[in-house]
Formats: sequence, structure tokens, C-alpha cells
Amino acid sequence: MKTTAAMRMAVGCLIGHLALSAVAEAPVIRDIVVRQRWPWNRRVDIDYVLDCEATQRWDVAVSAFDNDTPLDLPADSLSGEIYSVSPGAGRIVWDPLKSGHTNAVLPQFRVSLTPVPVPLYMVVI
Amino acid sequence: MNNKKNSVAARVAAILLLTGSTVLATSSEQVFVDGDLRHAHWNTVFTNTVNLSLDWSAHPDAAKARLDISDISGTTYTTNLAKAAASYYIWRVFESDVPEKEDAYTLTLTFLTAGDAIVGVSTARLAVVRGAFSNVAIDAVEASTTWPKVFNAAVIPYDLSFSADAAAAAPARLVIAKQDGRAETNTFAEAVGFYGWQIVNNGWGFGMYDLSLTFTGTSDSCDATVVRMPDGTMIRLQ
Repeated sequence: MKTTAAMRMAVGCLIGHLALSAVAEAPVIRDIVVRQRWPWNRRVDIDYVLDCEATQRWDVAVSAFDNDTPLDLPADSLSGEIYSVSPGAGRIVWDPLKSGHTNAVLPQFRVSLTPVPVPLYMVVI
Repeated sequence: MNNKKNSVAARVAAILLLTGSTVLATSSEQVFVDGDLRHAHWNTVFTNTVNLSLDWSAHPDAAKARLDISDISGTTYTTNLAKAAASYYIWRVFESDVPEKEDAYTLTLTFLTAGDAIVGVSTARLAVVRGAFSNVAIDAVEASTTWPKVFNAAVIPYDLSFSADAAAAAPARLVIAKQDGRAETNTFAEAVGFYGWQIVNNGWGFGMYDLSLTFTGTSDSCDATVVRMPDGTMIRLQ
């Protein structure tokens, strides 16, 4: 009898714990500021704030547009806090001179930042 | 009976242990606290209203405060605040959803006694940049004719991270020098921020300007040459 009650209590606690974990806040990226480093150079600073659990790490997927036209930003044209980012303020730097948009004027540039799970890798030794 | 009470107490204790403090604690709303002071969050406006806190407790002798907000043109807006009124002041930065122009503001909050003696001063710099609200123009043309042109006013960024030298660890200094005359040196207490350069009606005039951003602790610098010319004239910089 005592064993059954203890089991029920343990299962109840486990369910409660799982429920609390499930309602943990989803990651959010906010306060995005995009600005080219005029007059110093052509690089573009993309500042943002990632809200997520303190122990979580997320990659940041960058999508860029000129108005509604998607732009292709090569990975090596982007630097900064892109991979395995912890919560808080971050900055990604886009160097347009390392992309196919060299010698282009993008009058309506904007970005969309999305937190994506950090991929898991299996290391075979 | 006693055994039953002990059993209930043990169960409650077990639940509290298993679920942590979630059962009893009440959490505040999450807010972003940035102790690094190296992010746009500290120097950029994200909404058209800004809530400015007034820390009266830090100045117990203060009976009132004066808030001076200067924009890039040098125009200063002054607001007098009574101690009993509120612990914050809502600053309406601009009316529309998207700012019409970029601007750089200097905020000075002065705490005063009833006899107008100054008992405390707080200052801050905040910039309004388009890229916090809407699409922005990006110029990637290396031989651009428009890139070096400056018109009425310019919001110039400074940031320790602009230096490739990791030894740069102190605030930056911006020197603006007209090629045939006046020079101005600006030093910044903050590692990151924006400087508002008012070039019209400020004694600068037309011509070529050399800008240099240097960082203490390194010989590394960011340099640029810009030009202000009469409307309608186009020249190309090498």
C-alpha cells in the first residue's frame, strides 16, 4: 500500500516537473539593430538580444532581404555571434564585400534572425 | 496519528524538493540586464517613447530635478521635475512609428536641492538609428560617389570592436579635421556609442574632412575622408 502511494507521488512529481519544463519560454530574438559602419567601412553590424533559458545555447539563422527580395549571404561573409549563442546581447557582422553584393546598393536592406537548435555531432574516435 | 502527520509532512517536503522553488516563489517579469555596456541596447532607442528612471533615493537631499535633452543640432529641451511627482519620466522621442531621421541625443539629469544647489548629475547618450525601426540603405559599392558625402548632420558610430587589435581596451577618440582648417577632438567615456556631428550652422562650412577614430592602447585606427559640398555639385574621391 505504502509502495503504491509512494509510486503515485513520484509519478505525479515527475509529471509536474516535465510540465514545468515544457512551458519553459521559447527562445526569442528581439531588439535588432542593423547599421552600416559609415563612414569607416562597408561592414554591417547586426545587433540583437537573445532571450532564452540561461543554460540554453542556440544558433542564429540569418535571412536577409532587400525589401522583399531574398539575398544570398555566404557563410564566410558573416562573423560574430552566430553559433552556440548564449542568452543576452549579440552581434553579427556582415561584410558585403565578401558576398555577391559587392558593388551593389541595397536601399531597403533588412534581416530576419531566427534561433535554431545547435546541431548535435557524433564524434567517432 | 503522529505517524500520519509525519507522512504528510514528508510528502510535502518531498514535493518541494522535487519541484524546486517553483511552488512557492513568485518570479518577476524577465528584463534584460546588460552589465557589459558594449551593446546597441545601451545607446540606441528601440521605441518612440523611453522610460527614464529618476533615482531619488540616491540623492536624499534633492527636492527637484532638471532633465536636459540635447539633439544633434544642439537644441536643448528642458523639463523640470518635482520630487513627489514620479520615479520615472516618459520621454517621447518622436511621434511616428518610424523616425524621419537619425539623431544623437545627450541626456543630462541634474538633481537639485530646494535652493538650487546641485547634488547629483547623471548623463547618457542615446541615438535614434533607422535600422532599429525599418529597412536601411546599404552601400557596398567600393567606388561609390555617394558614400563619402555628408549633408546636414551625421550620426557616426564608435565601437571598440571596430579595432582589429585586441589590445584596444579603452574608450575611443574621434578627431574631425577639416583639410584646410578647423579640427575637433571628441573623447568618449563609453566603449560603444554614436556621435552626432552637426555640420550645418556650426562653423564647419563646405570642404573635405578627415575623420579618425583611435583606440587607447593600440595604434590601430579607423580613418575616413568625407566631403560636404554645396547642393548640386558632385565630386569623386580617390
